[in-house]
Amino acid sequence: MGEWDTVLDDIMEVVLERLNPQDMARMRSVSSAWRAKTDSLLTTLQLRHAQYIPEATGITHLDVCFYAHHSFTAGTLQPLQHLRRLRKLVLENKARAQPTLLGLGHLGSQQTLLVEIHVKAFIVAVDSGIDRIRALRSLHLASCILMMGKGQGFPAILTGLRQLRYLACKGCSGLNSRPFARIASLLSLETCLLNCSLRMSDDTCADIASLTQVRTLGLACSALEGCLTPACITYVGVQSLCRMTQLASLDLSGHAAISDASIAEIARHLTVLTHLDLRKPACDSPGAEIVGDDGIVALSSLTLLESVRLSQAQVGQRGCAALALLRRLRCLELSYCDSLSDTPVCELTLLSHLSELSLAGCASVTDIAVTALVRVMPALVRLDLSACHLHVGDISLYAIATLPKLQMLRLHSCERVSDVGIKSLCAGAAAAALMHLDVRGCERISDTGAACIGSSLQQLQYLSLEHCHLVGDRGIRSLSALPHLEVLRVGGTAATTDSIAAEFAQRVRLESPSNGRIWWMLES
Amino acid sequence: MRTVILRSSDGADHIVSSEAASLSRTVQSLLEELEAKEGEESPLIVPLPNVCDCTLRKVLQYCIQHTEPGTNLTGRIHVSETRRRDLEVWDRNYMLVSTDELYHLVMAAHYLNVPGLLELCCEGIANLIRGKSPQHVRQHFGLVNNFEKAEEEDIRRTNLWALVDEKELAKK
Repeated sequence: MGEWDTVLDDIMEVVLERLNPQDMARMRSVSSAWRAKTDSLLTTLQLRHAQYIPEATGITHLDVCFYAHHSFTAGTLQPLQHLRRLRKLVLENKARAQPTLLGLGHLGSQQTLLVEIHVKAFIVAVDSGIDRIRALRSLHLASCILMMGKGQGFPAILTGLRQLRYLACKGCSGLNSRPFARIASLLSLETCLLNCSLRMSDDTCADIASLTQVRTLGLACSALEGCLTPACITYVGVQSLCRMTQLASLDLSGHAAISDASIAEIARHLTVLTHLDLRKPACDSPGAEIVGDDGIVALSSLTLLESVRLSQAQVGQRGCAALALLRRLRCLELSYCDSLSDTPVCELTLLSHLSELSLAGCASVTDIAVTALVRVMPALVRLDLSACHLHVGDISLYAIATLPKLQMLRLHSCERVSDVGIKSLCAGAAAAALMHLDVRGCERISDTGAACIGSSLQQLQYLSLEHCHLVGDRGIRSLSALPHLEVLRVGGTAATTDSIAAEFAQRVRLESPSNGRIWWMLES
Repeated sequence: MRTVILRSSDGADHIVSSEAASLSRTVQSLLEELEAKEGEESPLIVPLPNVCDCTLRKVLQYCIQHTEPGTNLTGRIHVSETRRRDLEVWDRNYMLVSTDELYHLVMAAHYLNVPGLLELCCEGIANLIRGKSPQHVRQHFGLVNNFEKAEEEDIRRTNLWALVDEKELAKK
């Protein structure tokens, strides 16, 4: 017999990955050597299948539990209460259409040691009881529907959590007139990301402004709600936020009423800002203001800025020249700035360290400007030229192909991009690292282009070919050789389901056309 | 095609194509070193002091089978559906070994760093454990129940749910 007692941990780890918790628990009762090995390898357990959770409760020493599944019911969550030593809990409901009710208060009565909670796509009842998790430092609620007491606001329930540093409710919704009332009582908060469609107003800003520890603040509003309540945060709100001089990162995207005066105010007071996001929804509602060169010039006094995101702004020569002075800038977005033409854009060539650039929807920008920018920005990792459909085409791709670090390229609706451009992209240095490619709506791309992608872009994880109606079965089949592909969007192509071999379909998530309504919530 | 000589711990030589030998990342890097040192011409002898002759023979069976024409080195591109299915059947038969052999094989696969073989072996081990009672597993793997009395009692209590169907399993 071999010395199975001393089998290497590396090997044991691969074996364990293939077993379900029930088998793992049995392995712990085989011998003391195996017990010790299993325990040391099993501090984290990732549960992928619903039937495992009752069984996982046998491994009571677990301190981290990831649980993602398609069909949660109240019953599947029940056994969680046995895992009393959990310190981190991640629950993700993959079937977004059928949310399950999760009571945070109930959770709090069992798992008092939790330090971190992530909940995605549940109906979350924020009720009393959660304050029993005294050690809780971070609470993430993503895409959840929040249920809270009338007129109370959920921060009121959280006031007992003295350790809470991180609060995020990205993309959450709920019905309440003042959901963030009493947020001022969460004094220990350092990061506060309330980017969701709940109502935000100048009052919320005034409440938040008294939190002196917060360095990262997100008050983004989704585009959909943004159109309904256009002026939710106005100049008055921004003024109160400007009391938070310690802020390093501020996200006010989705608020149409941000004006040049608001930006000037931010530039004057928030001197240590490194990240600023002021993107706006596309709507002409009554309270909407337009950001122009005056506001952008004011930004140039914030010399620490590393990331600036603007959209729907009237950027001209002066604005671009001011942005070019921000030498620390690594990420710049100027999306849907219709007036932006080649001459101002060429001012940006001074920003040679940029790793992320977005000129999405700047339809007046041409191949000439894109080529000039790309030539001087060898460090670009993410590039977005979506909807530059009038003048950006294959010629830009010749230049883009030389970017050695490029990981993400979005060209959606760039109708002038054809197989020729894709071929040169696949032949260039960029092919080595590219992981995310979006050519949705590039109608000139055919099977030839898809075949190039399939044979050259070995690192590709995400590919969207939606509405490329010249791409057919042959093109899709040639993509099956891509080893890392995880998401393939094929809606609107000529491909039939037959083209996708069963094995390929199992590995890759095929997605139907997306719902683009709340676009920036989904993207970040 | 270039051939190389792999020398096992008991001194026996095996002549294989460099392509098959390179499925082992350990051998591949050793080969690169040797080539750089001794040039293209001289015969390449790779000593493998951690692998005995009969295990090495078994490992090489795998390497040769998995580099036959039709399989690309990366193992992904250009593998036809039928070829893939044949290989799966071959792999299944290949795994019909004693637990003892399996131990030596998995240790060799780990030492030689043959990713495909390592996964295959681990799947084999997992199959021996899946759905078996601890008693069964002990018998299979030649392990001794060396728990203290109190410890065993503790296991029984916390793992009740896992042991409930033990009697049923024992019947099988």
